[in-house]
Amino acid sequence: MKYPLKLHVNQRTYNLEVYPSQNLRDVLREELGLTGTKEGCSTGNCGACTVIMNGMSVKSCLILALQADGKEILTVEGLSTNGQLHPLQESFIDKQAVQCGYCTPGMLMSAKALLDQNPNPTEEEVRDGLHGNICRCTGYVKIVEAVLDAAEKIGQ
Amino acid sequence: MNMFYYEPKTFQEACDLLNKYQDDAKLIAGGQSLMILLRQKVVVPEHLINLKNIKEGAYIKEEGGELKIGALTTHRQIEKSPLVREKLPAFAEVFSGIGSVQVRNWGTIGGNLAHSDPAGDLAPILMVLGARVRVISKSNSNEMPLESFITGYLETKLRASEMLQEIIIPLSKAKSGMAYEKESVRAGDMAMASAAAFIEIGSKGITRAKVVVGAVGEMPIRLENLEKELQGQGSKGELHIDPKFDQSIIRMDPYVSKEYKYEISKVKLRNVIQTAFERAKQA
Repeated sequence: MKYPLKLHVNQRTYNLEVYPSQNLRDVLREELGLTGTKEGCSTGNCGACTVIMNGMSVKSCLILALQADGKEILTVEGLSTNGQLHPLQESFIDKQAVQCGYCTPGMLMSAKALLDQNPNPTEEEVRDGLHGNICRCTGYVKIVEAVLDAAEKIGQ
Repeated sequence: MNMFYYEPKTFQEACDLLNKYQDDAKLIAGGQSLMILLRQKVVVPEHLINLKNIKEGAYIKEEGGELKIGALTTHRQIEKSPLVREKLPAFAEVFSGIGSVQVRNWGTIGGNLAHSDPAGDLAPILMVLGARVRVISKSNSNEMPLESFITGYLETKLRASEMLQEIIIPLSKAKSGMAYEKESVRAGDMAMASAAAFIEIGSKGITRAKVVVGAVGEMPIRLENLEKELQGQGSKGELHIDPKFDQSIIRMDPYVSKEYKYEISKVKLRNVIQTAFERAKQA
């Protein structure tokens, strides 16, 4: 049986009908076509599906879509405004913090949630904030540099 | 199969649903463990009851010398709570090593304990702190020690019509200290071995010690012999710690041998006892 779901995603409101067993990630990707949010492990380990819900970073594969009813969701598609990349996105490009790119949307969303709560993080705080996101290419050094760089840019 | 979904707003509404559907119902709070089981179809409930809208279930308060935490309080709320940081700093500290920020933002303390994964971080700590849990059903409400609530691998005393409402942690009036350590493949992962210790001291050394070894067995296990050996120690400085325990409790692990788990457990036990003792002296 399907149940009504009202989702506010990237400042647009969607009225949907979903099954109780559907997770938020599948609804974002398959019902709304927002494929920036990635499926990695589906067991809550990799963080590729990270989105921001009511200001908190969460793993969208570990949340029932229906639990997100009425909540404000931000996905990687909502990071840029009017075609202008978010400072985090610019820093990821400038610092070459992307290799295959699969973990990048999740990394960006975790980093955004971190900077929203802590605009001047230390390197250790950045590493803690990105702890739930696995990257198999970069070794994290450039990702951490990019987040610190973005924090500086946003602060200016 | 059709799955029906409910969003109770109060504990009473949730208990009414449980009473009606019993074993055909499954409760979901943060779902950080259950979502995986649902996806893999290990668990296929006919009635799925989402507890996240029970606003009265998320709180942290001090009452009568005890810390009371609602079952629906998230890990992150406990981690960031000024009250927990003041009353039980060593407990607040542990959370940075549990899962990741994302998991702590949505996962709940009640869900963690009710799931009863032997590798969970909270149960060993709460056991040494002497925590109790409040279990409710449609017409009953009971308190029991967490130690007797946990009965085995993913098993608890909860019956089909019952749920967790509250976790109660007594606050020690003595000079006391607590410590927890775990070993895992990657920092923040589930433990392959863990240990927790709580120690109270008086003028004649250790007056009370509680020690639990976690993750290696089917459930966290109290080491009462070790606790007795610690009793009265430490009045003249050094502790003599011999953290041996019954190796037959150790279960298979996909990553490491039973022998390794035993050795690493002993290291962790020695560390936490020493740290808890030092913290008690400084308290």
